[in-house]
Amino acid sequence: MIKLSFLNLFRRKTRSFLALLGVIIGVASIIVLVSIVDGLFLQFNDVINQYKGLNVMEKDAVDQPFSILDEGFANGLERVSGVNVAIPEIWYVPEKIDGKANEFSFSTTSVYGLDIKKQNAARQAGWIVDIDEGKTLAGNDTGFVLIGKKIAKDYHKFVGAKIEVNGKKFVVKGIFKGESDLIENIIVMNLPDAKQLSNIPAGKVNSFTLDLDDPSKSEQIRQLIEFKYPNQVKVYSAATYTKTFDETLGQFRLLVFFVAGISAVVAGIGIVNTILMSIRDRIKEIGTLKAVGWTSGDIVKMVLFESVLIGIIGGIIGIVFGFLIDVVLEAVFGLGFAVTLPLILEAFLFALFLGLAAGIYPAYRASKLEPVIALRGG
Amino acid sequence: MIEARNVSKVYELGVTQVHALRGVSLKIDEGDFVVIAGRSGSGKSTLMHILGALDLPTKGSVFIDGHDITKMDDWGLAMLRRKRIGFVFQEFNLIPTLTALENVLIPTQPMKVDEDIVRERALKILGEVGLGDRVFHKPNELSGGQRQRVSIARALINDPKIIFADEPTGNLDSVTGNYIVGLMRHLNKVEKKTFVIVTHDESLLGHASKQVFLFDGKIVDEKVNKKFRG
Repeated sequence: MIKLSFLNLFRRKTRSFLALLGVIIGVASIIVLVSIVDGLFLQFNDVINQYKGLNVMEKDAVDQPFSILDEGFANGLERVSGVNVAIPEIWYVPEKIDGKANEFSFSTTSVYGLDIKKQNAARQAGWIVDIDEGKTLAGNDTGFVLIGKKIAKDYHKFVGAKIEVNGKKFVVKGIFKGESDLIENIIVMNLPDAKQLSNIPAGKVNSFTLDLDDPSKSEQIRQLIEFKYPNQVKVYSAATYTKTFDETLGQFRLLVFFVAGISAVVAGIGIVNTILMSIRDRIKEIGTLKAVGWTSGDIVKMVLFESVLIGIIGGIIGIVFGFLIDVVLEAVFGLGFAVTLPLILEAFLFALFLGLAAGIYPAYRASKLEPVIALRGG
Repeated sequence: MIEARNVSKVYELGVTQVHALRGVSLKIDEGDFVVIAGRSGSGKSTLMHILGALDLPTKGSVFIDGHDITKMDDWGLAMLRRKRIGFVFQEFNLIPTLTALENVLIPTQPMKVDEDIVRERALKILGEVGLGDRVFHKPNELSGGQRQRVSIARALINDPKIIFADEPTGNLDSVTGNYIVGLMRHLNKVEKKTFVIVTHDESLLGHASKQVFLFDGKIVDEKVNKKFRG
């Protein structure tokens, strides 16, 4: 019976192809859009999981560059029991790099300035990356930077080369590897250099990274600091970041899935139409099947097989197409896609369910045909 | 084995009523080779459909092997057709995408059967109807007579006791038509299959164990010729 359903699809090739195309486009768009979200999700998680300590920001700031705190806070923070060092930081997005505009996008290059002396006193937290070429910064280095591999590639830089950030020249001292493009797109410099670049008011920094004596106590210390400075700071740990991202991105992912799913539902209507027309063409055949002893249930099964087959074939091709589109987009735009196994399964089940749902009405119609009327051709 | 008692069939065509059958009573016994003749519109196809459990009468009752079909649901009727009845159609009604063998196996498709066994059986039947070398041909690669033989083989696959044929020679030339009639006579004699053939081809009447003449939905004449009993 499955073979018959399968062959039935090939009897009107153009028509079946159009129904299939609808499913392919729908499923491919689910794959492409959701994989962008999943890709971002994974990259953010990689970045967040690098935080071994705590991050202290101004209370109502949405992100580090928008937060401004007194540099002197470091003393107070370091007096909190369990805090080893408080590393003051500057986060800054330069307008120009090597004279070229640094547009705001997923691939924006940012500048991270930190107190290298304090960083060198830290145990786990802060800027700890693998240096791929050259050397890391020393405590009193000025005019030197570390750059990520992505920047080195994008701007053709090597150790000892000069890089111009907002008109100011720096020498590349080292090139580092990161977990993701987001990390490899950062220019790291000593705090005084970054202060000068960002024009932050004197005596101010954006935030602090806290290195802890015992990272397992991070949640207690986080609460302690927020209790000590209730109106001034907000303290983040990797766990709080991950939780927030999980929630917001989870909702966003669902939304994107359904928006992409709408095109697939339209494809479902295409399947209904294709199968209805196919049944009208084969009305005598259905009469014959009933005459030779097929029950209404058998007819329902045959028609559902056909529509489910469209869903399955369209789903598989759509997943492959979506994946290929991802590969092309990644090569052209450098976006990080993540076609995960759960996404493939979700898209496949969605296509399967779509085929099944689209077949219900045509199957019901076909099964209710009176054999005698069907044999006459309707 | 089949008995129609005072069967009437009325079709509603918009506001007009069409009386396709007006009180037909008929008995068909095992081994019969019944030929129902009549002009088009005489109700002979309607009668065949009702005797074959494809359609239900508006009035009267029909017993097939003791089962009153007017008291059965769709599923019961399908099971009855599946197990006891075979159909042969004027236009053969084969599925164009399937081979002769697959077409013969169509009635067994929804059944839980051993595929090897029914396949063997289908090949044997195709051999018996003279298509042993055509089993993997599709309908469009077969002549009209060969297609009708496939359709007869399909009617035989579930080993029914009775086979209904609606103008089985209607789309065939006379030589091929005679071959098909001969094949059905052979199955009647050797395999003891009961045949009910609806036709306006008078030449078939000569083979009948029972001739039934239908006119305006009524049986106007009935002749029995026992020597043609299978």
